[in-house]
Amino acid sequence: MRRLLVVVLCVAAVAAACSGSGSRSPVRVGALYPLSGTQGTGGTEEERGVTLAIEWANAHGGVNGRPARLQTVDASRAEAVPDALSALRRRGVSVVLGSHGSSISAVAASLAGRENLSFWETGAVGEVGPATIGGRSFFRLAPMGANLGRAAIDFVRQELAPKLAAGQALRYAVARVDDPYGRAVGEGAAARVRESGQQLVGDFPYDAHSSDFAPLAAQIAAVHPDVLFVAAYLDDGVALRRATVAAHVPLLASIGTSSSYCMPAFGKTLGPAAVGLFASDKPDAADVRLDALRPEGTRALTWVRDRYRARYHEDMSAFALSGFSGAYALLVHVLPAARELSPSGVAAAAARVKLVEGTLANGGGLDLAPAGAADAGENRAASGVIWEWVGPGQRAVVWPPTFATHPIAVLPLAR
Amino acid sequence: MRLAGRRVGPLGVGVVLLALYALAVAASLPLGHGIRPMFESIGPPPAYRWVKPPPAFAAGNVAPRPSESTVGVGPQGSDQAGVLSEDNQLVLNLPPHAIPPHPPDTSVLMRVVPVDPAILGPLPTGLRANGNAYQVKVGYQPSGAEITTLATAMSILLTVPETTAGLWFSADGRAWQRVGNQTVPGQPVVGGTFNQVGYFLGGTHVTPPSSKGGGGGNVTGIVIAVVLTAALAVALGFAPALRRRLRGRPSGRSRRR
Repeated sequence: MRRLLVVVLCVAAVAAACSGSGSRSPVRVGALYPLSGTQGTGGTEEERGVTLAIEWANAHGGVNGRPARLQTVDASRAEAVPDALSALRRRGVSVVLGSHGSSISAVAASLAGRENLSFWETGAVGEVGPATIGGRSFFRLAPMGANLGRAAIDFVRQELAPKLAAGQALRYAVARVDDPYGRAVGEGAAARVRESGQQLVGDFPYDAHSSDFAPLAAQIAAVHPDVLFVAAYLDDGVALRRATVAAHVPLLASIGTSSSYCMPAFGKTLGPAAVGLFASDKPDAADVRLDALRPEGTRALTWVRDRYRARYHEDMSAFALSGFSGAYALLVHVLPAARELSPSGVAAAAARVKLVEGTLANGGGLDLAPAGAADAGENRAASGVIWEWVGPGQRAVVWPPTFATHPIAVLPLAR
Repeated sequence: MRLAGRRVGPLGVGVVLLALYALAVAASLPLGHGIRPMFESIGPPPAYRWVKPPPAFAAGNVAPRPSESTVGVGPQGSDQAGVLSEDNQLVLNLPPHAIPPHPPDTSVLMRVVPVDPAILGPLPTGLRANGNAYQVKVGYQPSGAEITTLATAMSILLTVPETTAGLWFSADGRAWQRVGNQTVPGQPVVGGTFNQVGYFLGGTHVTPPSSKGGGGGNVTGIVIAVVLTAALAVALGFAPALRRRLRGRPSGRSRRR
């Protein structure tokens, strides 16, 4: 009898020890980014931000005492996503951060449910397909593309229009790449023009890989817009701007969005031809005002800016800050609130956790739209700002006032 | 290769390409283009064009079409030439005289047909098709005589949608042999050289089925813990019996004396 008691006690003790070691086993978090190919530079920067968020989380107690471990896979193009997700699944991952590129994001979002994964988009703003289960297996921490487009039109209508043409209705045109990114942003802008009773005189989807933008500029000129909204990538955005200048399109204002108009290379390449252009996008780390953040956001931004510069010898880009802030929200707030790290457990926590704007290092907060909502899984408290090229190669945040580092300057556009 | 009606040798082609590149660089300098004039882009690569797309890529897919190219053939053989498929996903580079002369024929017609690999024979075990297969047919003109083997190997560069595990060739579309595994860092291509025409297909490793269930588990740790528990339980449970047996040995008795 005594022998049996000893055995039972030993088994119980070891079982308890096993249980304890299980709770301290690493939480494996997947990272799916383009680390090579045409989007490799931006994807790498965003993944670096995620890496630093993992470090922050582990230095502050991990996920309920469990260390977080990042499992990274390179998906340089959309077609690589199915295999990459399967590879993460085999490594024991149930939560995946990604993906920087809208084409990659659209595929990952639609496959996440089938793979029993929870996919968290940190950077891409493009539309996702009907197979996506927003609020359950897909969440977007970055601004939704349509919201960037709407914010751009709101800015023009509320802030610029009174200064440009007092009392007169402006004529708007939209030029956009014909892919998930361009559709999401461009259609958001076009919808806002219509909703707000403005005049939409043209909507011009185009092939980003086109080599001649003169015909597109001529089409735009033919509808006589006052304001041109552009959803472009860098090369086509530069080419389209040059073409509209060459075609002497008499624009009063032009506003673009992420991946082109707000990128340093855009202003550097165009020089004076970029001055006076606006962009609706995410903020860079160097341009977030610390006084606009809550204490938690200030602490995180101060730490990550210094850490990023020390490690990578450059300032944190908008991509890197977006990756850090999104991963931070997931690791520091959502996962610790989850009863289990299955996709359903994480989704339940995601629905509960709310962070007011300014809590995250990029100025954003967290308010994920619940499953079933029209914008299910989208972050309604994501941060977005309006940039302006205030001089050759010189850009500044001009709106909203909380984040502005420079007043709005109504400058004549080159033509 | 012929340029303005005159034959141009490999050196000439190289000089022309070098001049074009220098021209492109020079043209960008006065425009304040402070970044490299080639190989830069922030947008995604063009979407892969599938003959039969997987469901996730069916929307928006533009199926590739067959294409034909003509290459001149002189007394020494064929010109140096580059042949592109209609979707730009297959590039064939023929060195000079890759196709032997065939008087009185004056050219060859190269036909490239994108093919759904599912209708062809399977790749070796552990591999599956990586994108479309391409059937390449070559025939002298005007005779129409078919060519299956080249005098000199051509280089093949194939764009593939997934991680590459090599370039494969089949004369009949049934049995495959690997003809290359060249890659370009950061580019979704695989290349090789070969001296026959037929079917070309990229391969990728078969993905094992993914395990289901919650993430973050530690199966190895659990197995080790169970084994340790069992071993400890057995050791402790039988320790008294073992001790009694040891006490019962003669040496033990002699010590007790």
